[in-house]
Amino acid sequence: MTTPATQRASTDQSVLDRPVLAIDDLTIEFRVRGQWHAAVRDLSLSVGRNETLALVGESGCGKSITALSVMGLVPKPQGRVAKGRIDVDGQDIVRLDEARLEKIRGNRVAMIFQEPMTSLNPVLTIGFQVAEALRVHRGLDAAAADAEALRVLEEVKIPSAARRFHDHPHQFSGGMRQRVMIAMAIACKPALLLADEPTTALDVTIQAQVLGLLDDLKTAYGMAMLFITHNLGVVATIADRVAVMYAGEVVEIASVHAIFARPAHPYTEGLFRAIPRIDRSEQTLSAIAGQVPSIDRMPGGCRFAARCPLREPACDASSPRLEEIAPGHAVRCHVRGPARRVGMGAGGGVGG
Amino acid sequence: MKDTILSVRGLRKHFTASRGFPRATTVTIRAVDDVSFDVGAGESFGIVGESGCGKSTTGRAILRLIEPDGGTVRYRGIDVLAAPPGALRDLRRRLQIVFQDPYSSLNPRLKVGRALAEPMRVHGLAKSADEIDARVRALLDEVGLPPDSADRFPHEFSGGQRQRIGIARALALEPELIVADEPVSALDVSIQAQVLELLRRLQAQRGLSFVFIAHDLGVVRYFCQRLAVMYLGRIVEMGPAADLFSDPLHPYTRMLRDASPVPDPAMRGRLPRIEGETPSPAAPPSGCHFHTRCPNVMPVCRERYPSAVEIGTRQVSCHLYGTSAT
Ligand SMILES: Nc1ncnc2c1ncn2[C@@H]1O[C@H](COP(=O)(O)OP(=O)(O)OP(=O)(O)O)[C@@H](O)[C@H]1O
Ligand SMILES: Nc1ncnc2c1ncn2[C@@H]1O[C@H](COP(=O)(O)OP(=O)(O)OP(=O)(O)O)[C@@H](O)[C@H]1O
Ligand SMILES: [Mg+2]
Ligand SMILES: [Mg+2]
Repeated sequence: MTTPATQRASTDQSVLDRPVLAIDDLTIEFRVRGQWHAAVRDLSLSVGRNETLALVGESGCGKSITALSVMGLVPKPQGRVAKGRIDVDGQDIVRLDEARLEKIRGNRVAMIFQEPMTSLNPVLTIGFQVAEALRVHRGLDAAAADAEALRVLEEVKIPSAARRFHDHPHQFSGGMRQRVMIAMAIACKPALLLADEPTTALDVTIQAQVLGLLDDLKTAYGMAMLFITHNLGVVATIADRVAVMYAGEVVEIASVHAIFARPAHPYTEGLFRAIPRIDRSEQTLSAIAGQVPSIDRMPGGCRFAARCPLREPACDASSPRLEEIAPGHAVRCHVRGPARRVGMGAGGGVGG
Repeated sequence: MKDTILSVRGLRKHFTASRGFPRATTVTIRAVDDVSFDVGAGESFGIVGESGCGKSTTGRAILRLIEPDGGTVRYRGIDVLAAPPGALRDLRRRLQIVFQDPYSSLNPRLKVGRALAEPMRVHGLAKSADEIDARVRALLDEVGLPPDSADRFPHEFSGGQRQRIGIARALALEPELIVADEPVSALDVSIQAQVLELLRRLQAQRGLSFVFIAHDLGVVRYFCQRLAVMYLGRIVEMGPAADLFSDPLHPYTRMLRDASPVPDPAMRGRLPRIEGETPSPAAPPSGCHFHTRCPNVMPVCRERYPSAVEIGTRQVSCHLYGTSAT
């Protein structure tokens, strides 16, 4: 099967192996009461072709702003990328001007938001809106763009898409609007799809369908997908790898199987113990006490220390680094990091 | 079930709305259609189902926050729907509601202490200002808020803290039953767990009963002993939570369960692919409303709404079960 992405990209093997998205040492800051504070700090992650990386964490930990930065949409002037690189297809978008960004946005990189009505124009027909990206980015004429838009709407399973092509967004149900959003996002066959809580507002039945659709599209086009959610059930369903964020930092990153089977960071463990599960009876939950600090009140040392059951003096003294404890599995924790694992023997389980 | 304290029979609420442009037509939405259930003393009774199936309308109609069009609601033998003003006032104290969005239900200009004290004063639950003060402080402590919260405004609190304020306000009148309408849906997992723990502790300590509305089946499984599954205004299956989830009888219950993501990648199944659109409550399909999405649909399902049958601890309305006598 020839996928459009490979048709356009060079067939050079090194290019194919290169991650579609590579974020390196990214810091994003906001100005709060005249001072710059980091909302995302020293963040590094990558997503490869045909891979879904889930970004999870509590509200306010920096998931959305990370995704927005990949679109070059950090709000100015109150926000800025203070340092780091964001390579998309090997091109650092932090250093691109607005005109070049426009060419990439909605074309090579597309984003789906939680609330479709905020990104759909209520006065334009859905057919027009899906076709628009094709006219702008692919230079198709009106007829060709409409034909392709209809094909994409059928691909996302809008029932009687031809008949509903000229409908307006308000004539669609919530789940259907989310599918239109997905159609707009994938119209130009992006290499990278950023999905910011795309199913949070939907019923579980519709959520399952949308997740199935995204998974099919990822496979069909070999897309890289950065999937933001705080629902660990959704993570287990769709992710290949998982990055857990806390207070603007990645605190753990691993394959989906490793993170569910052997969570290493106490925050990750805490999140797992807090979910009420449909497949368990007589469960006891344990909440993580306290809340995420706001960006202008970040503690020194480990940012999670104040809520952490494993807190030690070292945790307040210095910030832990994100370090590998197994191939592809890294954790940012003084207690659970590699330094303490030496005595546990190679491949030892998570202590504690 | 323990002694029934709340008994709902044939509850009905229809809305009329104008739809369409340029020539609007009036449509009837059968938001709640012949709903019956019982809640025991100290029990948590869950109501689940997709958006628009009538969960909130049911919760509100029980408390007469919206007037139902038909049916009966009895609370400890008192006919709630026929209660004269004096008796209704007393019922309003004993039956409270907690909403999904605590912010919109709190007056932003009222300090938290005032918001808690006001209903006590109105219902004459405390005599002196000192007594009210003491009770406010005890309430804040009970829901895990610092004592100085009384002098702060709602916007100074986080989402989870605001939900605690909403719960404290419901508790201020010493209620016996709380209708909780999606009380944790807007909260992060960690905060959600804090609030669920709080509700469970209050239930144990105060012997409270709950009608607990939610769309997250994991939350319902954690909090509720029994539950009802609603589809387009009607209860399609009802029974003990553990049985419903381990062995759903109604195909819709099964669909909901199977669509609920399990936080375990080893359990990853095939995701459902898209079938038709969910019908609108304004135009429910003929016969069994679920037949347009049902994997087990039979000809009879298009013709007749199935009557409820009892199977063990459960009640189910589906032509797959029972003799469906006419
Ligand atoms: N325009 C802004 N000005 C100041 N601070 C901001 C701005 N936008 C975001 N922030 C701060 O940056 C941090 C990260 O916000 P972000 O929206 O990325 O969180 P999130 O992880 O997506 O949360 P949620 O799960 O609630 O969507 C938060 O502390 C937020 O308050
Ligand atoms: N005041 C009203 N006027 C007209 N229709 C209404 C009114 N209130 C509710 N409805 C309709 O009645 C049906 C049931 O609504 P209800 O709010 O009870 O659903 P729900 O199960 O609580 O949904 P959700 O999960 O979205 O909260 C819906 O179709 C809704 O649009
Ligand atoms: Mg966000
Ligand atoms: Mg509701």
